[in-house]
Amino acid sequence: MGDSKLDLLQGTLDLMVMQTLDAMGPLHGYGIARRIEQLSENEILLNQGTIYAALVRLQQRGWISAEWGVSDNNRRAKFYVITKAGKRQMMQERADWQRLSSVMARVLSAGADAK
Amino acid sequence: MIAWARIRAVFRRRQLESELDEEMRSHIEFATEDYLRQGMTGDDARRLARVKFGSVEASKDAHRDARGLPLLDGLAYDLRFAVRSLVRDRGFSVTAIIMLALAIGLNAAVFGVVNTMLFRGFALVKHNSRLLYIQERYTLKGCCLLEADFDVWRRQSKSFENLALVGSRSITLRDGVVPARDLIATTLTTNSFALLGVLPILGRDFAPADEVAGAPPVVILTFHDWQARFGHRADIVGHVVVIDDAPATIIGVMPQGFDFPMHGQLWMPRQHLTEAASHRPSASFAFGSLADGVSKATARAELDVINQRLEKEFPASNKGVRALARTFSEFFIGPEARMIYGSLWAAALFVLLIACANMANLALARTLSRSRELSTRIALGAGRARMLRQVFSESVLVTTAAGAIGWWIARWSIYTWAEATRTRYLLLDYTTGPGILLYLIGITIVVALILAAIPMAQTLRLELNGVLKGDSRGVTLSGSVKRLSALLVAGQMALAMILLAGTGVLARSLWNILGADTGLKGAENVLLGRVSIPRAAYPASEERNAFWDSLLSDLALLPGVEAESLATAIPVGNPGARPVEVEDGQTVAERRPSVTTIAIGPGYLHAVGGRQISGREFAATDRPASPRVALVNQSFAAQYWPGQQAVGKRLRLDRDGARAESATVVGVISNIMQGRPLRDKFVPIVYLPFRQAPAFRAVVFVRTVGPANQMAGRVRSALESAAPGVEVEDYSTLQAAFAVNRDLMDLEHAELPKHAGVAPVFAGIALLLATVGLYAVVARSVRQRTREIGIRIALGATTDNIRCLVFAEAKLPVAVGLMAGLMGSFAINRLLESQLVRVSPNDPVTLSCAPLILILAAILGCLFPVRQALRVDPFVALRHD
Repeated sequence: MGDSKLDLLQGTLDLMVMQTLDAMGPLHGYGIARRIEQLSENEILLNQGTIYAALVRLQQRGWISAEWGVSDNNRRAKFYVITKAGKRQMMQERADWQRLSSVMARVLSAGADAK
Repeated sequence: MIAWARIRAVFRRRQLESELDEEMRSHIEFATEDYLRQGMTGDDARRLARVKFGSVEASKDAHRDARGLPLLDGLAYDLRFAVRSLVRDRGFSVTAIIMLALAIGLNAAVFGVVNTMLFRGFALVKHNSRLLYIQERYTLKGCCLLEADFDVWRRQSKSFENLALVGSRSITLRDGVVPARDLIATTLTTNSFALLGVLPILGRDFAPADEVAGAPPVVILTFHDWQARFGHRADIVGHVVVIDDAPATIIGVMPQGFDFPMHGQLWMPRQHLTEAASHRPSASFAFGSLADGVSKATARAELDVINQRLEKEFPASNKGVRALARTFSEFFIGPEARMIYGSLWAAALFVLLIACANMANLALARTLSRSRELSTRIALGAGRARMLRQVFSESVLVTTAAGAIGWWIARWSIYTWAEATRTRYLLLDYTTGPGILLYLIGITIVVALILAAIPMAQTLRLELNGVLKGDSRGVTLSGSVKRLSALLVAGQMALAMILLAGTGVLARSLWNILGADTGLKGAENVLLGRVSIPRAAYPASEERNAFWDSLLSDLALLPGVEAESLATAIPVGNPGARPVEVEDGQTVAERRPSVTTIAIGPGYLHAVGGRQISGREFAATDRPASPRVALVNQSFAAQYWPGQQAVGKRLRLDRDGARAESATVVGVISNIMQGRPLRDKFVPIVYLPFRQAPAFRAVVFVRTVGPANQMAGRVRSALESAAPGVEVEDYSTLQAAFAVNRDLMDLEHAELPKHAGVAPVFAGIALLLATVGLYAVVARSVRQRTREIGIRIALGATTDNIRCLVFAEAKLPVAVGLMAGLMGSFAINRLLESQLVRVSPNDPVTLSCAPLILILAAILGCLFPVRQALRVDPFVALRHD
């Protein structure tokens, strides 16, 4: 498994975080990391720690906000929520991403046909 | 908005960091709980949670980079860390900072001094580097410029934007405030001040009309005179003084600190000479500013061409007359200025090099002893780039601190230099301007880079595994590092040796000058003053004799006066020479060599401390009407009448260009230093009786029974109150006058006292630094060989064995350094040759003493490490781990 894990593309982690928060509502850092791991079915090589750099980046841009709260098992944690601006940004990025991936798919399959 | 958030993050750092810590901690706890719930054991769950999280430090770094201003943040972090690690390693930091501060400060100070001496020149004068100072050289001795030639240059030369003429005039000034003064006024063409770029602070500059014949006389005052003589009066402009019995108007006051070209009291416009006089040497010098794009060589060539033309046109006055156009430093500081100040600069650079080599060695040792710390941090996930930044910021911190202290040292040194070298005849601009600061910053940066390079290179080459597995004393020196540090020590020794040897020959040369036999005895007990009487009051020579006679007899009556006399010149001064014809001698009459002549009064020998060798002294009977007589010194007698009795011989001296009647030699006296005594030990001198041609000015000597300073006040008032209108100048003791004259008498060596005074400072610092450098290397090696030394002691090595072991560390680098230094000295001392009086550049005494001093210093540097090695306890050393 180890070698075949995907390296994250620049900027994709930010989008995944926003998408997760949009779908799941308020979550703490560990919850976000867990969720991304589950959804990617462990295909992505992610040091969970790196998520915090993404979180602070998104926060500074005003796309997510954070608040200290208490978790189900009574542990203090910082909960993140996506903002309105974040949603707009997420839509935009999702559209860009889909466009890019369809273009990639077309280009790659054309390459395969030619072979 | 993001930028704003980032800036805010920098300031909320503490809070953000603690929040991040908490967040990460709870993250790992969440994960652990999850894994426990999945059925893992406690330890496995915790481990997996940490593995999944990845490096905490790296994540924190990424977080910091994302949220703050990574560069600034990193810088602040690095600096904080650097301060902490430097404070921890106090010995290293203090040594490093002091050493570099000294070296950098000295360098900047020397740069400032050299800049002034060679380039900046007079205070307030602008564009000194574009000015050339011009005199003419004659086949016959004479001074200094034909005014007619200057006028031709001014008309024909295209190399100069503007040319000005400087001369002097002795005048009698009556300003209504104090008694009349006879003084020397500087005469200038009216464009002079504008050319120098300095304008009066009060009133107006000279205008061309002031120079025209018949124009009403005007003067401009120095700031000092305006304050001292005219009490800062605001209405001074327009005030009328009397100069040589004619009224002259004060039209301006120059700014404070401006004294051109020499210390004087006032400036007057140039007075045009008659046609005939303008073809005789009269003016002091000319100066001009080079036109745009004209080089000095071009200007010199052009002057040569003009002078060749003049030679054809006026063969009588201009035969062999060449123009000499010199820069400020060549003209005012002396022909050797470049060599002297260049060598000082080189010496300062040597000191800096030594300090750098030392620092490099210290840094090598430090990184080695820290290699475990560094390796551990790299292994824990700190990037190497981060380590490099850290090492770099430490060296930046050290050099910045050193630079700041160095700036202070530089300013203090320049100030001290300016005070110590302040003379009454040259006022130079020693202000510490931005140029010096820039230079200081420049060398500080270079030093910082050099210092950072070594530990950075070492950090890059760290072998993590080796270091971490290595024993607790860290890595031992690798061969190449050891060679490098030995080489650095050798280099330091060589440079220190060169500085010592250079200083040695300079000091010996100065010693030879200072300690030279002057022919005077008890000069500290002789008071002297240059006394002048108003010309108008004593027109006849008998009247003047009467005045001088009564002055001397008044002085003789003062209690505590042992002897009194007068002469036309101070011993050691340069009284001027006249062609002499020696009868019955070996000299052919036509050759008529120039011989120094001085007129002296009766009792001169006793007053100054000379001796009568044969014949008699001048007596009261040698008066204007009596037969002409003369005295000669031993040198003269030996040169012109070798092996003969000089008394009774006759000689003939020229006076005012005409041959005077011949005089009989009535005595021979001991040699007294006069003229240019340094090279040609004692020059031949002819002494004439003052009374046979009494002058308006004379140097009066008073030998006191007790210490001269107790009598100084009484003698001075006796001189001043001798008659109305008497002026006393240059009042001091013979010893002090002697010291002042030494500077003036030999232009080539005028700067030697400064040179020889500063050189030991440099050599001393170099020696100290080199010793410290050697000590550091040997001590480190002893520390690293503790176990080996312990084993040797345990196996029965004697104290001497151990001592040899330690000295062996120092032997090779010191020997190599000394050899290289000796060879360097042979090469470099030759450059100093022009400054060496009666000492060879390869002076054997110096060249054997310098290595001895270095070896002593090296032994001193080894003593402490030896003690350290001897104190090694074999049991402790072997258990050491």
